[in-house]
Amino acid sequence: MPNLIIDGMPVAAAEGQTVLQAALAVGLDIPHLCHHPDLPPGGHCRLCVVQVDDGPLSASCQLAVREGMSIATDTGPVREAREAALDLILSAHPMQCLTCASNHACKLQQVAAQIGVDEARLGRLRSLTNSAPKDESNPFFLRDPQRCVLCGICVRTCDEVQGRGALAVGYSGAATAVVAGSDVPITESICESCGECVVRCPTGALVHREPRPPAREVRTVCPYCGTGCSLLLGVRGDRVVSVRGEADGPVNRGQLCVKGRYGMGFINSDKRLITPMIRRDGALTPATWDEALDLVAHRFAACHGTTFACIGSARCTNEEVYLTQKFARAVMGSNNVDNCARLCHAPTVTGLKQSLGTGGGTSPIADIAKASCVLVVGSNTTEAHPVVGAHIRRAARRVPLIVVDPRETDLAQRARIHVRLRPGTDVPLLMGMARAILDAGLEKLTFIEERTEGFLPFVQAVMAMDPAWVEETTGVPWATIAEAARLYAATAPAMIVYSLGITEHTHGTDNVLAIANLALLTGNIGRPGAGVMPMRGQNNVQGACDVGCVPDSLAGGLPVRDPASREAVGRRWGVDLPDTPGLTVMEMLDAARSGSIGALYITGMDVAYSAADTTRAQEAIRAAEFVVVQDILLSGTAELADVVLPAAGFAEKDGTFTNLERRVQRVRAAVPPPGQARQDWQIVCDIARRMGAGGFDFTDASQIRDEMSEVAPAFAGIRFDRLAGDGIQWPCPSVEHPGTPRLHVDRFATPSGKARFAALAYRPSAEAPDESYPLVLTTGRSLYHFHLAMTAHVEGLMELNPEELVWVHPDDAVARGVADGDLVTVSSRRGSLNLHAWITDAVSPGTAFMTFHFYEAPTNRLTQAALDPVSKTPEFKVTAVQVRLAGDDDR
Amino acid sequence: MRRWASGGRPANDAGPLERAARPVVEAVLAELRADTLPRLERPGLLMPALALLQRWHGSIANGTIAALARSLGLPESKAYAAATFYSSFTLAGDARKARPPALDAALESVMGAERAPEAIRSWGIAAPDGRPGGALARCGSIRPESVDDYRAAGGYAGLQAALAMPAEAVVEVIRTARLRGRGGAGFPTAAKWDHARAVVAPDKVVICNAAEGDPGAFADLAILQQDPHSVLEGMAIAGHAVGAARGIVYIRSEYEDAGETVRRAAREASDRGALGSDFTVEVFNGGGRYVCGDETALLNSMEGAAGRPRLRPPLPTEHGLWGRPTVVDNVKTLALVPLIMRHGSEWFASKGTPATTGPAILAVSGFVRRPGVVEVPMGATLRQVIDEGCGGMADGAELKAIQTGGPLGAFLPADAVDTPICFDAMKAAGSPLGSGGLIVVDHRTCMVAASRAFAEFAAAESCGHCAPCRLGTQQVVLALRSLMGPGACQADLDLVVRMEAAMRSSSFCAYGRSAASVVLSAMRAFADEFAAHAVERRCPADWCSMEAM
Repeated sequence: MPNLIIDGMPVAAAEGQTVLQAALAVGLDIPHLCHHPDLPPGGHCRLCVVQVDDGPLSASCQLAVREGMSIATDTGPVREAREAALDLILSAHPMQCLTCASNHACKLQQVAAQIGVDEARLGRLRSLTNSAPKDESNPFFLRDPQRCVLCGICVRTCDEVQGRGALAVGYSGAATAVVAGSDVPITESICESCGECVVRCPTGALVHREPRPPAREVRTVCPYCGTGCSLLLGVRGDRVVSVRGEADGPVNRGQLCVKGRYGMGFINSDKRLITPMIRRDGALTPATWDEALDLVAHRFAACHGTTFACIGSARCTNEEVYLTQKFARAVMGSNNVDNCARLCHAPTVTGLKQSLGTGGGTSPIADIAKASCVLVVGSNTTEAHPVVGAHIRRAARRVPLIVVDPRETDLAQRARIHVRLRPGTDVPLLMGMARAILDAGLEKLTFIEERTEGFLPFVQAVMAMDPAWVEETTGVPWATIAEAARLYAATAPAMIVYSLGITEHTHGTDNVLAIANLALLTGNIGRPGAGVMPMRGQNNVQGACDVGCVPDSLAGGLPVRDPASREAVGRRWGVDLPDTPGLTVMEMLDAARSGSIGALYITGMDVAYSAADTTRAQEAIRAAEFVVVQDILLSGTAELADVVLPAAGFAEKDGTFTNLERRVQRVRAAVPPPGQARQDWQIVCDIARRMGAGGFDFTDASQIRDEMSEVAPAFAGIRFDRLAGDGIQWPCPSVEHPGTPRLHVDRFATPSGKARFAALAYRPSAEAPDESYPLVLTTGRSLYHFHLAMTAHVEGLMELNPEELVWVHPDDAVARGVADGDLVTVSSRRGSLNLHAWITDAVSPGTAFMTFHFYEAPTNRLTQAALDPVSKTPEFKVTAVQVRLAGDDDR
Repeated sequence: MRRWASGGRPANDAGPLERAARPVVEAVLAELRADTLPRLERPGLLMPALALLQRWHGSIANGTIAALARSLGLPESKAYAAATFYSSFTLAGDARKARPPALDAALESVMGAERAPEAIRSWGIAAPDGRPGGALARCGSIRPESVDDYRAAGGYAGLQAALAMPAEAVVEVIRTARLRGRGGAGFPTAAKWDHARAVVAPDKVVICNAAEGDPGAFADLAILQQDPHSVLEGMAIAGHAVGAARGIVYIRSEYEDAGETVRRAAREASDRGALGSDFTVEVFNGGGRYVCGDETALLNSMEGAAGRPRLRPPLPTEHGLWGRPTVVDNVKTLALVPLIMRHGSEWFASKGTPATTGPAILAVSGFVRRPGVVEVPMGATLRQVIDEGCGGMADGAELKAIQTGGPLGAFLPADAVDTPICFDAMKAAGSPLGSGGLIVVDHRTCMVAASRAFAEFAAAESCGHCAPCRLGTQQVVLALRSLMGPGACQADLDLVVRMEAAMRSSSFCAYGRSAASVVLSAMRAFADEFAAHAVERRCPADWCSMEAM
């Protein structure tokens, strides 16, 4: 702790601080323009000069604190230097403050006021303003080089915070300017439109297009992916007018991605559902709540038991999803309740539960920064979970990154090793890595002996993986596999991040087990910087599973088959609970198709488009006798419903979301729901009460949370009054318990307390390419979209990513006579779509890629409903397809 | 069809321009044997690749930067920023690119300065055996690239002597010789070496700073052209002293031919085993920026970045090229090192002055009879250099001032002509010795015009990093332009003084701190002349057109 004197005042600084940081920390403001607390010093503006030990001036932003140093921040020479530097900066700045979007929020104004501007003095300088044109290419923000003070904050932000490097200080001398890419409009560069630079720009050089200061701000959680970024929604009247990252957000520390920052247009969209609708004469027509609720209650009452099926929403709050499954079980007597996790991370729940005892990510996101090696498998993190992706990009600047992915993703390009496997060969690859680790003697025997079981059969299965066969099956040279394996095993602590590239397979659970095997083999569980992190897709998909919105467990993961659990929950609810696990999403659809579902209650899920093989899914929904869809927008599924109920969106409700690190965070209503839309939990209560059920008399979301805490021991200590700040990571068994950031530190949550190795064998994917369908299609998410409806109502996002494209490798394109931008037909055994082709070697020869964000080209018409036998998750990631020029029927 | 925004396209998706540029980029990288470099160092190929692209294709086509950046593992923006930073690269369709004015030409017209590296005179420095013993003594009498010639003239004996000693002992010899770096700062070389030697690291680097950019400085060029082995030998000795096996000569782009000479000499030295068992030297061509003479800017430039100075600490001796401990020494310094090792530190310390030992190696241009490179013992006076080294003033020329220290130096008025040449005496007289360039100014020169030429240079060569230098140099230029015309006024003078003070007190690097010092020194020494412009709107030298058109 160096002690120094600043303006005669003793200041105890922290080791490694600069003088400016030490001064600011004690509330002593030294004028500065190019310093930002999140960034390393730039040393551009020179306004922060101070006098050191009565000697020469020095920029305090670059001056390291030293024991005993004496700093004067306001001497004659300091003032002269500052005034001159300020005059110079102002001489190059257009003085159009009142019409500038940064007026009043401008750091240059602030320092000018702080230092003092003398008109006569400033007037001696000649104007050095430039006349560079504005860059208006981005739909969300504007760049005005005339207002740029060249503080370099945007450049450093893109490098250090976002880890992207889209910007640089180009040219030199008077021509010095910030450039994007090769000095192109910013949307033509690799900019991801996250807006982090806009947030930090001290002047009007980078401004949001709609910079409307809010009247008040409400802290809540982002409704997009499972990262769980804390947001401040800015409100004027009853409308959300601004968004910014909450600096204290435990996950994002103020950072947001393009969707989080700019993707909230759907809240105020005029396409929001504002009134209940009932299908009359084939068309959905507006109805009153009484009409709609009466109809629903009446029809539901006729479907008690297993003919009732319910899909809860991973977009809703924990409290709402809890209530939804309670409704299905307690009122409808059916365990046919599931959520969209079935289509993504159900194998994570089944796999990790089998292996480690708990079906959740083991570590906090912040642990990525503590890892000495990061292994990313089947996760395009920087697009699908951009803020976690930024964590990984920052880590990759220091430590080795290994990426296993058939595509050359952004992370793959930054990786020390990119393992470009053939889609669907994950088990041979991961077991092959285990073999390479064993061959090299890098397994952690003590950990294995003390904390695991099933090692011997596992080793036998591993040794059955012959390197030559692994190489042939995966298409990856053994040397690469072995190098990656050794790097992961030898660089502790190492963290595994994985996502749907692992789970969305007919061997998804096996894949998850194979991931867990690797972590167990190397002792990479239960300590900082290690662990297994599934990137959960939806904002509350972790929570939806946790609170029992699955056919085989009750809240807190209590098994439906366990009489004691049923008994305990049933007693609290005052009913006898059904004892047979119910149907999963894909099974519900099959049941509906075969006519055995009387009522299907779907809240906040666009299952008609997100399920695999949408033709079948849509047939199923049409075949169900009575379909109720509760949503915020008229989704493709809602269009097929008999009754549509308008729900409140995330910005309009109180409750909690649970993110991918099991962190339960508070969601707060910022604005009232539009029109007659109601909270999802209120709607469920309305229906239940109309059906005469007890236990649905809640007046407030916190009451539901309290009931959940009673029912589920893992959440016993999670109450609204404890969630003001960082939230709580479950398990949290009591109100005194601080929560559990890191799982499995001392023992695993299995009955024996030991983790279980899984002896796995290779099962090929359900569909293999053949002559008619020679390409393997994989699917994934784009940075600019989430699923379908939400981002479709955000103009700027549609502008940045307006249509579905099929990515085709140049070799495959040439063979088909397809050129970049050609209209092609993509067909599978289930259907076909017409869309434009994008020729790129980001996909391997023999593979193609599509996202799934557009109703105009619904990708899942192509995918198949082949399921993982354990988790019942469909194989979205391997579909045999053909790509031909549209209208070209020649085979 | 509407495209996705680039941010959403796959990381390696290349636009048509980039795809089209791939083959030429691949050819260039093959020529540079990029695949032999570790991944970490590949960005360092940016400048060599740009230079080669330009040589092959005349200019650098659109898309090339993107393709090159991708191949080298750099973000495109950073590669583009670097490419537009250096003046030696021409980008197709780049209209904004600021090129520094041809200062040499401006100086020639204003002050009659021109480079004359071929004329070399060394006197007053005798070897222990009584024969001429200066660093330039061999120049002109040996074939520059020949190891045999160099050896026959006593070369590589210093290295042999050094290799026979432990590293610490070599540093000790340099310390007792009191060698001060000839690049400009006069920093004790032994202290720098000792610092690098003390850092424990497997891989260290010795860099010869041959980015000689001062207008009026050409002594380094003379040595590199005519006696490159002396520099190579000095580098090898430094390598032994600090524990570095790798030497790199960073040479300014304008010295391409001299670079080839050094390259050939280094190859021959390596082939003949003259540099010791494991020391190798390569040559890196700079991109034509004055500020790359700053050692940290030079390092950035070698790493494929814009050559802007880095924040110190850490010092290069601790964290230099690719993070390795790095010693950066000037050409002249390195050329003196073999002499010390060969003749001993006592011999060296006996030359020159107690504070600045050994020879001064100067480049003299301007209005002297015989411009050229002059080597004299430190302590000789400016007058001696002009009279004895350069045959006196040119016909009809009267000494008015001597410009020393390059664009970061100053003008010394004629009455300071008896100042001894050494770092401290020159500094005391108000003008740094710098890297030894002297421009002799005659009585017909307008000091305002001469100042303006330097000011234009300072503005054009500002790297743009910090506000005082980037903007202050521009304000000084505008004030001086005004002073040379009908609008001249006292406020122009006041503004220059204020800007100079601001730059001096608060710029980021040494360049910015001294970027207006030449102008200020002229204003002080020739106040009457400046006042004539500002108050009477009259140019005493009759150079400036003061009347309104």
